[in-house]
Amino acid sequence: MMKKYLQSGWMRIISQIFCAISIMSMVIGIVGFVVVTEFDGVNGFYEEGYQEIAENYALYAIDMVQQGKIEELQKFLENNEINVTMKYLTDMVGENDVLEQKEEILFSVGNVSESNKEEILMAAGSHFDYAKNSLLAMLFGYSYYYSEGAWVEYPIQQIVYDPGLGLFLYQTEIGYFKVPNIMVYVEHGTYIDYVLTEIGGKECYYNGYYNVTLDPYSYQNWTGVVIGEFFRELKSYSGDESYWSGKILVVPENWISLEDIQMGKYSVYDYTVEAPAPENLNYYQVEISCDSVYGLDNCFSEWLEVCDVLEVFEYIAVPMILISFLVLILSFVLLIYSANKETLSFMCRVPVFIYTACIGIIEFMLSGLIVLCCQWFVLEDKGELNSIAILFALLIGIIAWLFFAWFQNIVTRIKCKSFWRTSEVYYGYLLFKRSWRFIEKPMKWFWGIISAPFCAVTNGCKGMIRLVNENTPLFLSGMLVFVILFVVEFIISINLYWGGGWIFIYLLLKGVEVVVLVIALLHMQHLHEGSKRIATGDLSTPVDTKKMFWKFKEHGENINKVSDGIALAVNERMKSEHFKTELITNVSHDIKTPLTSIINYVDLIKKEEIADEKVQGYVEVLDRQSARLKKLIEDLMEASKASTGNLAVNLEECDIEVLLTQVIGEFEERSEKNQLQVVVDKPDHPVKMMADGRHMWRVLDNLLNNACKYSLAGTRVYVSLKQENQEAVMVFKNISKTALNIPSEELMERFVRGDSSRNTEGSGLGLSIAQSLTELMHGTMKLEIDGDLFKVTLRFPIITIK
Amino acid sequence: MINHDFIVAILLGGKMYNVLVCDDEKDIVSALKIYLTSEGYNVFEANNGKEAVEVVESKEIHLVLMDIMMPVMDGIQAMVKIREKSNVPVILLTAKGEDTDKVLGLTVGADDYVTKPFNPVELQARVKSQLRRYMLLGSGNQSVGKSRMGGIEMDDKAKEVTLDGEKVNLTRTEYDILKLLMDHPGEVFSPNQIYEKVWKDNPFGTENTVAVHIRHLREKIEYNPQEPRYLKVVWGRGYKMEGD
Repeated sequence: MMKKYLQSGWMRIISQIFCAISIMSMVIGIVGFVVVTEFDGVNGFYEEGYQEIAENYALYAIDMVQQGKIEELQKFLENNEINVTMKYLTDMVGENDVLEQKEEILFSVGNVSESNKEEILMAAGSHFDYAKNSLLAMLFGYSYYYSEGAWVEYPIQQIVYDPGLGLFLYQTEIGYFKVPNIMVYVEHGTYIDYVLTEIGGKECYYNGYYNVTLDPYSYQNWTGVVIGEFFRELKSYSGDESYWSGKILVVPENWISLEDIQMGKYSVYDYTVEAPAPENLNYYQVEISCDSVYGLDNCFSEWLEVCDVLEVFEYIAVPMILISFLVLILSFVLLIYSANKETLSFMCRVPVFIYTACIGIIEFMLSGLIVLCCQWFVLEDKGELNSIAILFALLIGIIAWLFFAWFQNIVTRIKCKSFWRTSEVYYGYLLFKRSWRFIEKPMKWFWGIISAPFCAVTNGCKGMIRLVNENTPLFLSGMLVFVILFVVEFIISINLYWGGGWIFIYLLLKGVEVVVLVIALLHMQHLHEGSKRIATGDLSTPVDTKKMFWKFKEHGENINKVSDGIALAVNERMKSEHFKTELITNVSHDIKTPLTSIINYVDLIKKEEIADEKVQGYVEVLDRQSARLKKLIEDLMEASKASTGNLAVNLEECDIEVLLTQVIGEFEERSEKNQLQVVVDKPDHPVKMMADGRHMWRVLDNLLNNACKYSLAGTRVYVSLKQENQEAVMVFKNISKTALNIPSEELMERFVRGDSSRNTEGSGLGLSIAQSLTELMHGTMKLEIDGDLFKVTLRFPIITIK
Repeated sequence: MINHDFIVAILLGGKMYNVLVCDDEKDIVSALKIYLTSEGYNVFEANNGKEAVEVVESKEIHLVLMDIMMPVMDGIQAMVKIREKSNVPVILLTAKGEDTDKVLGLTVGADDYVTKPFNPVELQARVKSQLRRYMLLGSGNQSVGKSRMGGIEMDDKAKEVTLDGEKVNLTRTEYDILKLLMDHPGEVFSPNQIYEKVWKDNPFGTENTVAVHIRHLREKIEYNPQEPRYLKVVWGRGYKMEGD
C-alpha cells in the first residue's frame, strides 16, 4: 500500500520538485555564505560594491570632461543625485584609492597614454551601463586597474647599426633600443649567432660556443643579418657608401650618442617595441559622493538594498544549507525509490539519447533565457532587484527540476533493465531487422561494389603474406641480410658525408660483399650446370655439393635426388624395353628355326614332281602361308626394334629427290603389274636432309607397297615432294580398293589393315614401322582418309643449302 | 642321282667338294643335305660346334655351313677354333638376323652368312660362290681385259659377263652401267651421273630410267635382289659396286 503510494506518478513529480527546490535553496545558501565570508562580512561587501560603482562613475566623468561634455555630465549627475569633484593632478598620488566615508569615494584614474586610452574608456563605458545594477555588474562585469603604470608600444622605424658602438639598434620615436641578439651570415651561407654581453665594461655581441665577439668593422663581409624573426639581406652593400641598401641602416661612427639609447626593460613584438610609459603620468582625482543612501535612484542605493538582503544571509546561510542538503538527500532517495520499475511510461520509451539531447537543449535554452531576462531588465531598467532575483531562482529551479526529471527517467529505465532496449541502438537494430529483407539485396549489391577494390587489395595482400609465410625462413634471412647491410651502409654513407676514414670500412664491406656474391654465383653456376646436365640427359655426373653450404647445398642435393630418381626410372625403362626387344628377338628366333624347316621341306616337296593337282594346290598354300609367316616374323621384329628405338640410325646427308627416283624405279614393274600409274611431282633442285638411307628406303618401301597392294586397279598413285619452310614434305596419295572403314589413327596401330580382312599378303605392320622409323629420323608421318582417298604426308627437316 | 652329281662334280673341276653342315636342328641339316647333295657336294653332318671342329680337324672339308646358336659349343666359338688351324670358307646360318651378330660372325672369320629362314636357291648360290673363290682364287688366271668383282667376271673384249662362271645375259645399257660401276669399285654414282655417262645425254626429265635399269641388272646378277651383294643401292645418293 505504502509502496504503491510512494511509487505513484504524483510522488515522482513531488520528489523531483523537492529535489529541485532543495538544490536551489542550497545553492542560494552557499552563494550567500560565500559572498558574506568572502567579503569579510556584509560591510566588506558594501565597500567592494561602492568602490566598483564609484570607479565606473569616475571613469564616466573623466571621459565626459575630456570630451568637453560638461553639461551632459551635470545632467547625468543631477539625475543620479551624485556629487562629483574632480582634481587634475600632475604628479603621482601614491595610493590610488582613499575611502573616507561610506558614501564618499575618492578615486583616481591614471591618465594612461594615447595608445590605451581608447580601450580604457571603452571598458569604462560598458561598465557604466552595467553599473546601473551592481549585482549584475558583479555577475557579468569586470574591472580594470592600471595601477602599475602603463607599457607603451612604439613602432620600429628602422634598424640601424653603429660600428662605433658596435651595436644594432631599433629606432623608434622616443629613441633607440639595443638589439639583444643577432645572427650574422657571412659568405658561403654560414652564420654565427651572437648575444649582447658586457665584456670589460663595453657592450658587444658575443658567441659563447666559439668564444668569439663580433668585430664591429667586419660588416663588409656580412651577407645578411637575422634580427628578431626577420632575415635582412645585406648582399647589395657597397663598401664606399655609408648606407646599406638593405633594411639596416649603417650610420657613421659614433653618430648615435649613448644618451639617446633607452635603458632598462623592453620587449619587441613584430614591428613594435614595448617599453614602460614615461613616468610623468597625469592623474585626475575624482571624488564621487551622494547626499543620501536610501531612496535615491542611483547605483549606490540599489547596492544598499542588495546588501540589506545579503545581511540576512549572515545568519541564515549555514542553517539554510544544512536543511536544504537534508531535504535534497531525502527527496533524492525518494526520487530513486519512486522510479517505477513495473511500467514504462511513454517518456521512458522515448529513445534515451534523443530524450537526453532534448532535455539538454531545453536546459541550454533556459540558461540562455536567464541571460536574456537579465539583459532585458538591465537595459530596460525594469523591476526591482529582488524580483529579478526571484525570477532568477525560479528559472534555476526549473532547470534543476528538468534535470531531476531526466535523472529519474534514466533511473527508471535502468531499474526496468530496459536502458539498452529503449536506446536508439536497439530501436535502430529493430528497424534494421524488420526492413532487412527489403534492403538486403540492394545492400549486398552496394557492398559488393564498394568492397570490390578493397577485396582485390586484401587478396593481393593475402597472397603477398602467404608468399612470405610459405618462404618465411628464406624471406626472413634475405630481409635480415638486407637490413643489416642497409644499416651498415647507411651509417657509412652518413659518415662518408662528413668525411673521414669510413671509406676504408666501406671498401672492406664491399670486399666482403664481393666474396659472398662470387661464392653465391659459383654455387649458382654449379647448380645451373648440374640441372642442365640432367635436362640434356646426362645423369651420371651429380652436382658436387661437398663445398657448398646453406640453401645451395640443399638445392644441389635436391637436384641430385631428382637426378637419381630419373636415372632409376630411365634404367628401369631401358631394362624393360631391352627385355621386351630381347623377348621378341628370342621368340622370333625360336619361331624361325622350325619355320626354316617348313619352308625348306615345302620347297623340297615342290621339287618332287607330283602328278596330283590337288596336292600341288595344297603345297602352293603351304608355300604361300609359310612365306607370309616369314614376312610376318621379320616385320614383327623390325616393328619392335623401330618402336623401341632399339635400332642403329646412321644419319647421313641424303637427297630425297634421288631417293624418290630410286624407290619409284624399284616399284615401276610392280605398279605396272597392278595397273597403277605413279605420278611424281618433285622439284628440280635437290632437297637434302639427314636420314639413314636404309630406314628411309624401308619407309618409302612400306608406303609404296601399301599403295600397290591396296590401290584400285587402273587408278593413279600420286607422289609429290615439296619444300615448305624448313621441311621436306612428301605426300603419297592413292585410291583404295576397298572402303576404308576405320579411322586413320587406328590404321597406324600395329596389325591393323584398311580392309579388315587378313587373307592377303602383309603383316599389317607396314604403316606402324614406317611411322616409327620416320620418327627415329626426326620426321613426322600423318595419315588422312577422305572417302577412298588414302593420303600419307611425311615431313622431315631439311638441310639448308649453303 | 649319282650320275647327275658326278656330272656336276666334273663341271666344277672334276672333284667332289666336302661340305660340313652343322646345326642342332636335325631337320634343317637333312634339308640342307638334300639341297647340297643335289648340287653334287659330299655332305658331312654335325650337331654342335664341338662336333664340327672335330670333323674339320679329321676330314678334308672344303666349306662349312654352321648355325650360331647351338648347344655344347656355339657357332662363334667353333669358328674361332676352326680358324686356329684352317682357312676353310665358313658360311654362318643365323636366325637372329641382327646386324650385330652378322658383324660379329664376319669379324671372327666367317666368309658369309645366310639368315634363316633361307631361300634354298640363294644358299646354293652362296655355297657355290664361296667354294669357287676358295678353290680358284690365287690361281692367277685373270686375263687382260677381264675384271672381276666377287663372283662377277666381266670380259670387256667379248662383252661378256659371268656370275660364278655362268654367263649372264645383259642388254647393252645394262652392260654399260655394270661396266661403269665395276670400273670404279666402291664409288657411288648418282642416277644422273650414270645417265650422263651411259646414255651420254642430258639427264633432264629421265625420271627413274636409271633406277629401273639398275633393278633389272640387279635381278640378273644377284641371287637375292632384295639383299644385293654386289650392286648396292645407296639410298638417297646413288648406286655402287662392291666386292665382298
